[in-house]
Amino acid sequence: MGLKVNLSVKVAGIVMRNPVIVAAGTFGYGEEYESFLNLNQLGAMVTKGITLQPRKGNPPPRIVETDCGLLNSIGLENVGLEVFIKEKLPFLQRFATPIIVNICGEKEEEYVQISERLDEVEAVSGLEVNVSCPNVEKGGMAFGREAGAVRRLVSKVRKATKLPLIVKLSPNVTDITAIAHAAEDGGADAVSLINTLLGMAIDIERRKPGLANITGGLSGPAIKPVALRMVWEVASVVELPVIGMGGIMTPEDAVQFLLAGATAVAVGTANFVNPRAALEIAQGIEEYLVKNKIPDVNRLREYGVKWKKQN
Amino acid sequence: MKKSAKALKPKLRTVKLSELVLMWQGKVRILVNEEVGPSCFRMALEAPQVASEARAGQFLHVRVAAGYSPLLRRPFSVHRISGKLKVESLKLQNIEILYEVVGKGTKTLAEKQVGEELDILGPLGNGFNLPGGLETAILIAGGIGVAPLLALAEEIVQSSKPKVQSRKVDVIIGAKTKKLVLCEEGFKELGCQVRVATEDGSVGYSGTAVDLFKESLSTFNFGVPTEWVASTVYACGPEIMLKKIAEMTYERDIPAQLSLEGRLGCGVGACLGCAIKVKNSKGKGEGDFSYKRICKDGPVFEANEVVWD
Repeated sequence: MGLKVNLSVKVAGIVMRNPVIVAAGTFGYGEEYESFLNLNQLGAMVTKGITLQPRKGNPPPRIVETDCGLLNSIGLENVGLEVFIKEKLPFLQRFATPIIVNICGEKEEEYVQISERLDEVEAVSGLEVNVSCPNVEKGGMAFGREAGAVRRLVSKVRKATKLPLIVKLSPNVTDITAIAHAAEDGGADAVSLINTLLGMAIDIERRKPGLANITGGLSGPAIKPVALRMVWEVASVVELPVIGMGGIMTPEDAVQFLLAGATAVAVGTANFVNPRAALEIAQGIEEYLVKNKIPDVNRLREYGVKWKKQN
Repeated sequence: MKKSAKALKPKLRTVKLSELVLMWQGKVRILVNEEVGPSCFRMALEAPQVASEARAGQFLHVRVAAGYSPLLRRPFSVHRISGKLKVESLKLQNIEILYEVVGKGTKTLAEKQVGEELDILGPLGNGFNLPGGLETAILIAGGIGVAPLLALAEEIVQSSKPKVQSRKVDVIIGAKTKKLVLCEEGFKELGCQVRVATEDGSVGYSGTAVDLFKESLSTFNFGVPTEWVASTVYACGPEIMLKKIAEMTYERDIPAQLSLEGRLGCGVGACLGCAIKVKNSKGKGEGDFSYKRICKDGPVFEANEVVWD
């Protein structure tokens, strides 16, 4: 390769060697994938959503495959904050890759407590505030659907920690830009979008829903056009950096999100299909930049913001 | 002092094999893809990297199509590791899977031609556990559930040390009908005693594998209750069959290991999609359970830990 291009990006004050992050809930606690790739080569790792207390998760079936997509209703199964700190973080901090902890709660106070506790933990580079999990009865998306609730929650978490705050947005809203503005007003350092789209599948032979929880979150290539549109809309109106995600499977998909205005991208469902997806996508972005003689990945997001709708 | 059989029951060690062995991802060549029964196929893959590490009960996670339809990989039990005995021909070791065409994924797989490449991940999960004192293994297969049990029979026979510890393998193959009885010859070649049950009675015992197991209970050597329990039941098949075997073996205090099936996502324990309910070891009664991952904590589970809904 002739041209030396810059792949490094800075999101919410977190410096990443490349713009490809692994998305929450799709990469476990990192250790599950160690055998398949060099974790040092990821832009950043976002952990499985962590709650104050351990959660068992939802009854099975928890996943069902759909056309070009995957519906899930895991229900935030996780080891809980303290076990995460004691048993999962030591593994993760062996790597040079920034660790972003996805946090979720049923009440505002839980987000605050988790944030205060993680503020003292050196290995953590940032928090992703999950206001978009569609598979829990309380909390998660219940916060993320209303601008006022997002603003209030984010400002409380803001006071609880100095860590960079990324707010993960739900696509299951009327106007995602209003929620993004609320996150910005509350003091977020970045927004990440989209979480999964609410969906449903039915097994006609058994005449039952495909998921035990009936509805779940749709991910995978099926949702990419919706995600791309939302990333473009949000990136066009907020000052905050945007982490774009939703169905990214290839370097070409990732470049589309970067052109739409995202500073970085996250790879989710693709990890299940190909454990090396994130690395291959980062490599593909570099090749794209070289081929098109673009010296810096940060130049890509200048394109989308200039596009204006004609009607 | 006489100890109860329960106290003497060999503790089944949970060996976290997946942490010890190297998992591998890559493209391998298809050597064989032949129909061995109605809609049932045997596929051999040139995968010495995986074959040299794989154990019976583990699985391969196979990407059946390059595109997004189907999107997810499909899990297939290790069915046979060809040439495992010939150490000098390590490079010739192949891995085989046995599958039944039931949906989009397996249909795509059945259409693959010899010489084509397949993207595989493996070996994944924990294999069957062979307790040190194992003398008699009773393998119960239901339908395509026979797939991992042939690999297990191979492993048991190979681990048998003549004169020191001879291990006996009894096999029950259950199928809907004669044409769907798979691997009978394969087990016999290994020296196993094979019994066949068909639901329509077209060959062997008329009934299910569970019926035949129940009827032949007295003929198996489970050891005297006061002695070391040297028998283990290994089963793979439809959930209803596994549930019945779990109940029967529990009542009679026979150790049993089951290879479970489920919808898998990642296959490596990350997505938590393949949850099954298990009893908590420090159980506080009936309602006390937690979820385990079929792909990472299994797919082989001790029969008495599974909670059946």
